[in-house]
Amino acid sequence: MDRWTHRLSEYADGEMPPAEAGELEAHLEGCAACSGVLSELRAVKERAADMPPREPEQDLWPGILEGIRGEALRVIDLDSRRRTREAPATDRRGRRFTVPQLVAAAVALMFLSGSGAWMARDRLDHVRAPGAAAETFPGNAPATFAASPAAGAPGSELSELARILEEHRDRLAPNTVRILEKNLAAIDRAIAESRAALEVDPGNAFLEAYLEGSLRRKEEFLREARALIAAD
Amino acid sequence: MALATGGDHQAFERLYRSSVARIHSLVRRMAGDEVADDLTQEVYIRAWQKLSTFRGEASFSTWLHRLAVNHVLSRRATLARRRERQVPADGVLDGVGVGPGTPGLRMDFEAAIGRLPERARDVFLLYDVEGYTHEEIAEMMGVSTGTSKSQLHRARMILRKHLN
Repeated sequence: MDRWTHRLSEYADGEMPPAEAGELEAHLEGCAACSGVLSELRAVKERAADMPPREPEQDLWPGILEGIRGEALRVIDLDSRRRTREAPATDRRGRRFTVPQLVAAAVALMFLSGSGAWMARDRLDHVRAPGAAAETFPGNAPATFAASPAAGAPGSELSELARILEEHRDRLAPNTVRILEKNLAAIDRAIAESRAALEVDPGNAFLEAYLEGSLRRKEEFLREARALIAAD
Repeated sequence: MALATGGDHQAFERLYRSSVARIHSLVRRMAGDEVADDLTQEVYIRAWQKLSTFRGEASFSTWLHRLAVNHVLSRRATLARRRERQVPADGVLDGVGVGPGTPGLRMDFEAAIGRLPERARDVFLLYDVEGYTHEEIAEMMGVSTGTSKSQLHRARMILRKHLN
């Protein structure tokens, strides 16, 4: 092989500077070996470009869905593994909560940010509340859980959850709090965008069905989180 | 896409079904059959986690594809893929049969790719199959563009012997 062999791919891809390409082309006119290699390299390129994608042999979605659903509860598992059992916190009613249960409550609160308001008000008002489009949800995390739009009306279960989490905020690992606040902000933004979309296109059956379906799934998660809190 | 970022599993499933063939093929070719399913699932779970970071500057498929490449590369050290060779180029594909016009020609070619040296295989897949530039490949793999070009040429020089 000569000095041009290792540069034939570069030439085949059109990435050789023009002056050098001219020199190579002159060389190719008199070198059958290099011309042959160049043809083969181009054939490899063509074969590669012709490789179609292929579906996996089995449907991977169930495992993905399980992984997605497991992400919300994984915060609890991580916190449980990292921390030794601590003395449980208590609320005004004397209920005792361990740190994992507080984390579960925080995660439930995130997913309740839409459903809590939905349960507290008439559903139609929730999606079409006057001035809803003008509401601004914090781009950053709320200063406290209790101040979050997810906190719900005073006296509601949502507000009680928010109060408990805020009271025992310092008992959670900083990284856990950071994750929860980040996810809470993301949930609030998603809800705001959904509501804003319905303000623009009220009565859109697809959007309403989507919102209702999302709230239903959040409620299911809330039941699971509640079970953890109740298991004292 | 907007519905998926709002937490709609069904919307995300639609995105999955429209993209899984390409993603799974990429993962399988880069990492091997044994781990392709697991890695593909990890890619989508990671995509779900990172949906909020999708800014819409590129298409979703481009964003997802780049995420998949980065994920496979980052998991490379922990992948338990069995390879039968880690040898210099020339002898690496001896015995991999490729016959002209045979029904199994396409699979033979993929098998030949799978037996390339790892770095050469990655560059070949990313450049010739997936269409990335050398600059993009260099950034993803943490190498120079010169290395990317030389590895591509190395891969092609090996594979060309099994096309004739």
